[in-house]
Amino acid sequence: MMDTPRGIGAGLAFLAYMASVAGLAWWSGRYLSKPRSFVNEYFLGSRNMSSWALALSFAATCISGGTFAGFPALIYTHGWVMFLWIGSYMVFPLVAMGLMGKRLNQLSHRTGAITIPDILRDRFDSSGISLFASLAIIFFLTVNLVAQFKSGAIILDVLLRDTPGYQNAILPAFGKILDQLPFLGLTGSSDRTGYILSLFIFAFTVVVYTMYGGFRAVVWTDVLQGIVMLVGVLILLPTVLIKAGGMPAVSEKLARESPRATIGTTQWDQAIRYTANATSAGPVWVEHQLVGPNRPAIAIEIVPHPQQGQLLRVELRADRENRPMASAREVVEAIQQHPEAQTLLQASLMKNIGEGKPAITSAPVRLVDGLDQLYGPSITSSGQAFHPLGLAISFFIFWSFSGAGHPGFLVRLLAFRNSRDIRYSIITVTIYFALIYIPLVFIFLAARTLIDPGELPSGADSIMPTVATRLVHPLLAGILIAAPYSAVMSTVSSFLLVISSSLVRDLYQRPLGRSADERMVTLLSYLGTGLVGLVVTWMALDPPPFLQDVVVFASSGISATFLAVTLLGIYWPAMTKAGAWASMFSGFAIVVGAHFPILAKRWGWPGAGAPLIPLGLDPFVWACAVSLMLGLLVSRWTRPGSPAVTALFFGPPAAPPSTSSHREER
Amino acid sequence: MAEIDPGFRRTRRESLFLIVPWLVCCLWSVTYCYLFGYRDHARKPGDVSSLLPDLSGYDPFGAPLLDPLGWGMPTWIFWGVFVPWMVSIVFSIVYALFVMNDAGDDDAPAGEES
Repeated sequence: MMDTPRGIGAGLAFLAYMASVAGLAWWSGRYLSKPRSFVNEYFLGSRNMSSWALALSFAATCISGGTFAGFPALIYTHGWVMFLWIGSYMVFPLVAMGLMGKRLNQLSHRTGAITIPDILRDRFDSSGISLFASLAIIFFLTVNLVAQFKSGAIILDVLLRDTPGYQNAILPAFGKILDQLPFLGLTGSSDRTGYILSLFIFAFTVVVYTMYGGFRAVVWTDVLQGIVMLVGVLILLPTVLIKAGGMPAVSEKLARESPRATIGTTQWDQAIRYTANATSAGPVWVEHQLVGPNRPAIAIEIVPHPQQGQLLRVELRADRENRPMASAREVVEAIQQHPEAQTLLQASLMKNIGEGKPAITSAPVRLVDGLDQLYGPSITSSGQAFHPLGLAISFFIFWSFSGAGHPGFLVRLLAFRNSRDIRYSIITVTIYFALIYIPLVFIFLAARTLIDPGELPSGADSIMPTVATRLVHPLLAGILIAAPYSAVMSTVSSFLLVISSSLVRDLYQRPLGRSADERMVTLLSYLGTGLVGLVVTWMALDPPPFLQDVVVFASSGISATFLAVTLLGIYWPAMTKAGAWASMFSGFAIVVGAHFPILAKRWGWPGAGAPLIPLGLDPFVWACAVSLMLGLLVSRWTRPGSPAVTALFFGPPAAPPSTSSHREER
Repeated sequence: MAEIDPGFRRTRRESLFLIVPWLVCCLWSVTYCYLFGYRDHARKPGDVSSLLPDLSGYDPFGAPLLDPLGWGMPTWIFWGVFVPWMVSIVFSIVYALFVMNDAGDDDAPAGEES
């Protein structure tokens, strides 16, 4: 919990940040009134923005809320193996920007295309492919945005929670307003008032500045957000390392840590620390189970674990509300008095947690050795390998190529002035990512030795705000907590614009050609952005619980759909329309099909749950391989496209000034 | 087949060449880390998965634990990820400045669609 100076610091930092965002949006919006093509300015900033701004914008869009929430939590939990997990970012800028960036940029100048479906439509002379591409973008990015909106709302709620007046005055007043608007269906949501208010604030600000300022506003706010993220990380690195006594001391300390586990790390679960004795042979597991009313309040038994080692089972008698009748302290005392348990492990109550009811574990939890934080593949609390060889290979492919095939990132490449700007941007983004990701690994490994898991209010996911509020000056804490908020905002604004460009450009303007009314295009651009924002906000009021799965599904789905077709389409003159259909559809179908068990689990199908990973490789890898192969094979067997298209895409430039915008005017 | 722009051929060659450094980094990092980070350490017999052999005689606090620069990284991370990451930065700069060129640009002026 932050004290008042920290709360004021966070509040001031947030206000300053929002004022800067509003100022940049207002300044960018003025460009839209200048006499130039509206869609080019609104969706690509008229292709005259500076390379360093676009480079930072590209980097900020790639960094989502997960970089500052989920990624630190994984480092904190699994240790050094996370350096390998994120290792593909060493070549991410080269692959994501270099593989197709220069070529796409040249083609967009040549054809006048402003979206990826635009390029595919011209390349394959097919409005059907463009329509499918647009619908795939709208589907996957909308799904992704729901997760991003939820992340933004949660971060903002944490940020504002300790601002004076927020909990005592603002939230109750907002709750009363919700109760008076029954048509919203949010009455009686008192436990979620903070989330709902934060969601509305987040949605309103990001939708309004994106809608008002278009691409130029998104880029300049991305620059601001990219700087906030970098400053936050670079402040945190020396601060945390000095407090931890340096990195060598951190690694030594982690290596010498006895096998241990903390059960219960939220405000409702009271944390108990279990530490295995050095003499324990093999892994030690712990399980808390509820039992019926005729059993003792606490019973302890030790049995062989089905996989390996010993299992300490703590049975707790349940009350009428199906909660344990004993307290966490009583559980600890019972274990301390149990002779056989004492030979196996030690139990203690975590400080700052209180003495409420002990947590109930749905499956046995494994006590994890300190060395598991230094070596791969690390293990999960359920005893499974966290990052086995198959996933290590998959992630190296996934990070690089999901970026290379993602229309949300590719569209950035269309906005560069020329190849020279792309070259300098590759350098900028390469250095930027190294300055963000490598320090993050150091920071949150060191945090492991400074903050115990039992002290985290909401488990490992709250390690970032906990580090920010406990280890740095109150004013800097505000900047550090604004960093993940910036990351979410930059991703959301970019994706919003990509969706609305698909709606306006690919579903309205291009099909109508010359008859498309410029004023209607302008109106639809504003309305499209606002409408998408409204729909996503509505969906985020009741988001799905498995957000990480949703983000992985949406990112791998959209990249698998577009990677092979775009790559082959721009580099291989013999690629045909039928090959493009086979490539896109197979990439789409494999990812959707492989993730179907997650949906099935929600519907209660027995045995469903995790996505399918044949031979231990992620569905994205299979989807890309099949999509590439089908694109090649089907193109070999079918008739090539018209010579005019081949000349436009692969021939020498004819008369640049006249060809550059001929598609624009169709 | 229509005439192919030489600028396009060059762009294709230099872009698809990027698969090579990606592949080298992938093979080096994953293989090195698997050999020296996943297998070669003092894990208790059968601790994590059947992939891992019994290496209980290994000294976890001996010299090989941390990197030679004294930055506190395990040696397998230092050589498997950190060093290739630094090499990749240098390679990216060299590639962007000296390998990738501007051939194929249609000499379109900035803001041409205005």
